Amino acid sequence: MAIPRSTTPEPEGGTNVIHLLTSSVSQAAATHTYRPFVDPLDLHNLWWWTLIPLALGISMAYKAVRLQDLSKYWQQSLLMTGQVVGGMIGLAVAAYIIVELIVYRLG
Amino acid sequence: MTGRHRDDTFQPVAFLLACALPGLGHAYLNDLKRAALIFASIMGLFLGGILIGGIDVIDRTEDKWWFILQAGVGPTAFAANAVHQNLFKIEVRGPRGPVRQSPQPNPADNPNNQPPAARKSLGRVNEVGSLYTAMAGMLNLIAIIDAAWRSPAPRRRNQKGEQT
Repeated sequence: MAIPRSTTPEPEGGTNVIHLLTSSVSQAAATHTYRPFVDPLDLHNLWWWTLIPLALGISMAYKAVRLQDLSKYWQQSLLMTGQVVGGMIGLAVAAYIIVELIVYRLG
Repeated sequence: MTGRHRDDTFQPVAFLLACALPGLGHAYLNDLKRAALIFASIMGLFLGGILIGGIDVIDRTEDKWWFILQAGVGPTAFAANAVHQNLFKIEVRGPRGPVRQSPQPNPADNPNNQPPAARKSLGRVNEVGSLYTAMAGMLNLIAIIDAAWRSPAPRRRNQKGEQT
């Protein structure tokens, strides 16, 4: 792929190298369409929502092995999911209190 | 795991089948519902991780420690790694000879101006995808151990010692 020529005025005494590189990268990214299971999802601002299906998957696999009687499988799995998510929220609250309140006051 | 009994002996066939595919060992032991639940949950986590982080999260050469955990899923993880290494990486000349590595996003930085075949996953998305696939591998190890040391379903006994 040829590097596109810069359309902005070049500074005196040199080539606008940074613009050449960034425009080439953005062009490569723009020609890339999303393909499931090949390209990553754009969840950089919403990544923490993925912890809920992670907790559900862990609970499902664990309860499928652990339970002797599978009649209450879904009930037990959802209960464990809630416990895991609740635990994560609790740890987040505890970390917030320590970092933002206790350490802040000590400092 | 699901209750140990005196007649729980090592099941080599169930062990090998469980290593081959999540849940297959339990299916061999006539515990089909449990097998289906193990397969769905572990493959769901594994494929969910690849969906979130892209094929880049399975990488034996560049993310060796993650791959050790992901390998617990079995041949599926090795197949995903082979696809990643052979279809989405490019060969570059390294100090010890040619090596395969992830292509740079800018085609001008790659040999023959080769464009990247897949986007590199970075940051939290890469971490979450790696975590999903690693958890799938570790949970499958529990399932393999459970399948290897349990009696086939028709011969299982309940807590009172009666045949079920």
